Amino acid sequence: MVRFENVGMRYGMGPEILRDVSFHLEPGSLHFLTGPSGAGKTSLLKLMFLAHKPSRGLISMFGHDVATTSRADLPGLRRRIGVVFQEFRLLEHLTTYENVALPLKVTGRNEAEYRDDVEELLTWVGLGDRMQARPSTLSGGEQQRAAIARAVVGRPALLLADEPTGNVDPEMGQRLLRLFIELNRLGTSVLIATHDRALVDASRAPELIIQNGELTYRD
Amino acid sequence: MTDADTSDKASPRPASNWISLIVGRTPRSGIMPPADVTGATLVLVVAAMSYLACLAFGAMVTVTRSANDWTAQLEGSLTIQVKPHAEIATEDQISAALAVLDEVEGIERASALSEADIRALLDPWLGETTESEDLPLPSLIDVELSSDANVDMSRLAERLAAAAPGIELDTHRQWLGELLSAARSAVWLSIGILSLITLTTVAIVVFATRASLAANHESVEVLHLVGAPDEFVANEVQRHFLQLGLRGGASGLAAAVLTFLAITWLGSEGGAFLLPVPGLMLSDYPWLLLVPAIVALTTTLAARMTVLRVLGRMI
Ligand SMILES: Nc1ncnc2c1ncn2[C@@H]1O[C@H](COP(=O)(O)OP(=O)(O)O)[C@@H](O)[C@H]1O
Ligand SMILES: [Mg+2]
Repeated sequence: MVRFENVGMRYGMGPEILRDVSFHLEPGSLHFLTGPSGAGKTSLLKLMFLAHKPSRGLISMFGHDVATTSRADLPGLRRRIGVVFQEFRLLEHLTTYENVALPLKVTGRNEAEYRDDVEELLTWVGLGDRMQARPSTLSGGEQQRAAIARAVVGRPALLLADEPTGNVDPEMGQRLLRLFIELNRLGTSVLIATHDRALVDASRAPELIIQNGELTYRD
Repeated sequence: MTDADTSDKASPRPASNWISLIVGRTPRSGIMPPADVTGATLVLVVAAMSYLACLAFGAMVTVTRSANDWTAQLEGSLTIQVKPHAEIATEDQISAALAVLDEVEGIERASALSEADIRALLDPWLGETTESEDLPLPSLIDVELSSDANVDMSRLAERLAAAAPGIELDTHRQWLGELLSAARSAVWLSIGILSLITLTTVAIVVFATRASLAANHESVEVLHLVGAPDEFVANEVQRHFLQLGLRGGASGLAAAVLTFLAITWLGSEGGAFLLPVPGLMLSDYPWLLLVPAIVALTTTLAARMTVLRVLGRMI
């Protein structure tokens, strides 16, 4: 489902952040992506959610070589990928409800079809009474959960979560982890970037470790 | 959770009908914030463009109609003046002229006007001329041309002059011809002005669209990352510009209608202009609605093309 072969990445003319990265994610798998801060976890995710192009190597998402994928096909690929951004990236002029419903709205679907699903999901992540609030009025943990809700609302085949427990207390962290595991059980491949050891140790899932720009695999 | 509002059912979105577009009630769930697109300055600029477009359009309609009237006059008939002459009786002058006209091809009918007809024609210029019965009046021969006539006017004028002294082919034809070509230039000028207004409006919209995309860069990027196609973003942005075009266009139209009414009123007061200003007829006003419609179409399409072009260059 996701295949990287000898991928290198750099920002502009800067140094290579990632070198010779090769790995393969099976459908239905759950992995952690770990490594010290600044190691390149977010950068690797950017390659996967098609926000950045590799400077070399081959990336294949759902069997599509991203280098040869036309611009018109990108939205279709991106809809199969749910992303929890490290800095959330909720849109300030929209309510929490509208933010979470966004991935469904951009498919052109009628709001009546998905309103109940979105409200149910928001209630499930504990934002049932914050639906009409603007993101800036939410606490860090609430924003985190809104970001997660937006990432999973479209039932993506692949969920990429960048430090999804960075702003919540350990208890909520465990609860969110259970959400990811539940989604994984329903068939979604999940990749969680984190430097939270407790989270990794709690689940015994395999680990992709980035260190000095190189990636190693630990079962 | 401190939020007291527990009636958390999202309220149904107000229908985004065309009225809300004009009065500016942006649909609540616009994905892109308006970001100055519908700001007062931009609306004012578009209103000014629409106003100028309405004026140019109105001028074009007026001039075109006058020119058509003149052309009909020009093509249908001509007039021959028979001035009183010492050596020859008026009746003889007239019959000489009629004899010449009889030989010319393309003349449907030629008849001398009675003295009463001539007085009726001159009254507006000379006033009620009852007491100047003895004023020597020229006689006139009214000539009606057949619709496909192709009469050589200068040749005809020569022949008439040779037929008898004091006969003149009225040269208003030439004067009308000049007026007509001036009218045609005026129409081309109006078309040029309308094109310029359109180009300027497009340029303004392209500029504003780019500014709006730059200001909403984060929104656009997030929209892409959650799987929105470029068309979705374009639809969101162009909706603001449709609103801009409708509001600006409607304001410009309103101002232009007031202007035309004022001109018509001043014209009917008399004395404001040397030539009577036909102004716009009641039946012309609906055509002016084209202007805001075209303005709205222009702003919408220009915004859409700009969005698609700018986004096409992103990854
Ligand atoms: N937009 C960017 N432009 C230039 N350098 C960047 C950019 N984003 C991240 N970097 C650099 O890339 C390296 C990896 O960053 P990142 O992928 O965010 O690491 P992590 O998510 O593991 O903390 C860091 O050295 C960071 O400074
Ligand atoms: Mg990071």
